[in-house]
Amino acid sequence: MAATRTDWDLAPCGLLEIDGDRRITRANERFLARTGYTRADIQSGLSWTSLLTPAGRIFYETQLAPMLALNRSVEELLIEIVCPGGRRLPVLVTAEQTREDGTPEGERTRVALMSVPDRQQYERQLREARRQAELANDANLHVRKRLELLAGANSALASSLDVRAALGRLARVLIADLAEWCLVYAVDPDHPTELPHWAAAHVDLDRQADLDRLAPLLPLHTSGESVLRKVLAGADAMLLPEVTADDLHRMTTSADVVELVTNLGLRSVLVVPSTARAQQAAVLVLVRGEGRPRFTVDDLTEVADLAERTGIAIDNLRLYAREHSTSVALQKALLTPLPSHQSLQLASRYVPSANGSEVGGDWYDAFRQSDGTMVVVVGDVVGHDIEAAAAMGHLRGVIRTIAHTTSGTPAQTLARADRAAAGLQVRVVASAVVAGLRELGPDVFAVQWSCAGHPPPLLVRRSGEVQVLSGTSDLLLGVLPDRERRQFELEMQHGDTLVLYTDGLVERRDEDLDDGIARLAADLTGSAELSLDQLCERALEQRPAGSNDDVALLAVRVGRDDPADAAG
Amino acid sequence: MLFAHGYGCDQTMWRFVAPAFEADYRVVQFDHVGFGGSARGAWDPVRHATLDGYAEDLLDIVHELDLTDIVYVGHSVSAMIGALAAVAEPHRFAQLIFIGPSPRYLDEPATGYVGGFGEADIHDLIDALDSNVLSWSTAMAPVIMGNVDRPELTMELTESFCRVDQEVAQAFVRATFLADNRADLPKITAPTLILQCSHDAIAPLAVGQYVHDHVPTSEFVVLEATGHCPNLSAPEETSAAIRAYLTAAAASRI
Repeated sequence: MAATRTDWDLAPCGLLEIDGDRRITRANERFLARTGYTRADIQSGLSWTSLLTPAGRIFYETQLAPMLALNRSVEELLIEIVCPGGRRLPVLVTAEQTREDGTPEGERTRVALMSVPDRQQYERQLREARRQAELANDANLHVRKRLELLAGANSALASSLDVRAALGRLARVLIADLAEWCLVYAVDPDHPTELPHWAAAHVDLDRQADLDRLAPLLPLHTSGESVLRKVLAGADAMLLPEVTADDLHRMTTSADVVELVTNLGLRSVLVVPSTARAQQAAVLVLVRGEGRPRFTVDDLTEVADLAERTGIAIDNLRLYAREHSTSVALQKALLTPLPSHQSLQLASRYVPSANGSEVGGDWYDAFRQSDGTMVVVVGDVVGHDIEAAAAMGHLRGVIRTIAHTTSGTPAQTLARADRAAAGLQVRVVASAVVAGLRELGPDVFAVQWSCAGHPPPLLVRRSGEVQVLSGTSDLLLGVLPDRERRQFELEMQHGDTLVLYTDGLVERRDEDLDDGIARLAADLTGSAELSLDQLCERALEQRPAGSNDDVALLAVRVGRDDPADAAG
Repeated sequence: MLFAHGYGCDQTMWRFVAPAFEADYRVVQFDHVGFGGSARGAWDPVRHATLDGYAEDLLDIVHELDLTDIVYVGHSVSAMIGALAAVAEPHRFAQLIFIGPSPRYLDEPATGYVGGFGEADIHDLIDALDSNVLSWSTAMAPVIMGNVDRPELTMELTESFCRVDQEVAQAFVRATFLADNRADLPKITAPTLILQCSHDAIAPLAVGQYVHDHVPTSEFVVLEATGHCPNLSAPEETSAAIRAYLTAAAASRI
């Protein structure tokens, strides 16, 4: 057949016509010249799909052909034409489909192919740029998510100084994002087989009770196959993407555990040890149930990161708890029972800080001098640690010894104690108030006091009126030991009560100390009718909720009888 | 009748076939996760990494609508998705109709199995899909011409036509073309019709024959239609073949 060159042949792009059976029925010269196929190839029934790579065929059949059938056209799709000899020619395809008589037989697809030798490179660059941008974006999102999680975990762990409470909060953070339910066991390196401290959390609150039953059982009934046991024995973190019922049966020796775990839902498990200073501090067990995605290596990495923080936090909490309990014990040991007196009542209170987070250097003391004067002391050593507790012990002893052996007045006692402490190199800064009550007659006492940087004592008169003994304070102890100290004196009658306290009772953040003192005074107004214990309790009600400061309180009242008795 | 579309498009694939059965059957169609109008958030890279995840989705639909006595029509990869579902819960499925099924697209030289593709081809395909992401929106532009025989399409089609999330599409390509479900075929208990196109580059005749040989109760019908989507290129022939099979099955039950 003699070819006639027409506009069809001379068009500046390859043109093809394809029938419903994918056979090429026409091809223009430009197409033949570009690809290397011949007219003879076309006439022998060359199939359009045989020009495509295998991938191109899938692409064509699954996407282009449906699109042509439904949409009748496709535009500018990049595919590769396989030329004779195997050379691949990237082309942009635009095609339209018609059905002359509405039947498959009448189907014709006209295809225009633009050769785009550089396009692929350009596409590749674009794709690479997009991929990089996506990666960066993913990484950002991932990092942000991870930081949020860590921040959540950190604040959970820092929220309490009680190991168990901190683990509980951590468990809730873990189920918020990572797991459907989780168990966190604190491991005591000295007793690694005992796991008395654990926390458990389930996203479904209705199942929390079951989980709480499981938590103590699980470590007691592990078999040799148990991942928990392996990790507790020192194995690395374990990821079980898919746990079958058989696996579960192999890992525990208890039917109860199997039943509980099955009810709680189990598909995928992470068991991650948490170490601090090369010792195990905790083990985290995270679980996702059926219908939840399996854990991945990424999840493992994330949890391992968290576990590391957990370990350090738990270790710190433990060290803290150890020190804290020592301080509390020391302090308690120093706060001896109050002496008795034939015409005075005494009552005292010591309250540690609200969350037990800090041990203060607060103390109270009461003793009799050799002349019979009742000395009462309340003081507060600066600092909140075991050293403060120890310094308090020293200072209390110094004041007590000096007051007892010299029978001096309160001002003398404070001045001598300050100098003795300096001379004995007891390095301590403290505030204190010392008062001496000397009996003048039946139920009449002279009270002398001296104040070293301490909140003013309150005098609750029998009438109910409260006097704030302010303006009487001198310098703190441990600052300038040679400074002279002032002394004040008042008379106390039957039913009058002197109240000494430390600043923890009245100090509130963002409030002037004087306002707190005024509030305490107002609260105690009329309290002369209360028993001395009741009066102490009322005073303690003043204490700001959640205070991180401890409180020492001492009250002394003239007269042995309760006001109620006197009234009766 | 439950219609499941194959890779590359959405339930639009059925618009020339499904209506033919609406008078006699309750017709249920859906979009696989990641395609058409499916919720983007429903896609789970782990669950949907294999065809099992899609089979679970299918059973979710079956449970949600409490479908029984199902005539399942699965095109292309959805044939195997349906096979997995029917093996899992055989009591729900009355008949299976596979259009262009393939239990394994990759060749397996060791056993001489010919699926039609090599692994490199699949990576090329993913590359090709990637290349065309930018053009895709252009391809979907509402340029509709020569729609003489189906004028009803002209207005509405392109809006929703074959919306494909490319990230999902690529994962689906992997799940589809790297799957090997040959071992599942003998487990199919439901009577099965296999519709095979004459010239199908995706699922060649020999593959259709393989499916027929390994599904215990199956019939094999070769359509005159060519290509991989007879439901689009030859809807009348496709519908007629399905209808004939169902009628014969009903008759044999009486």
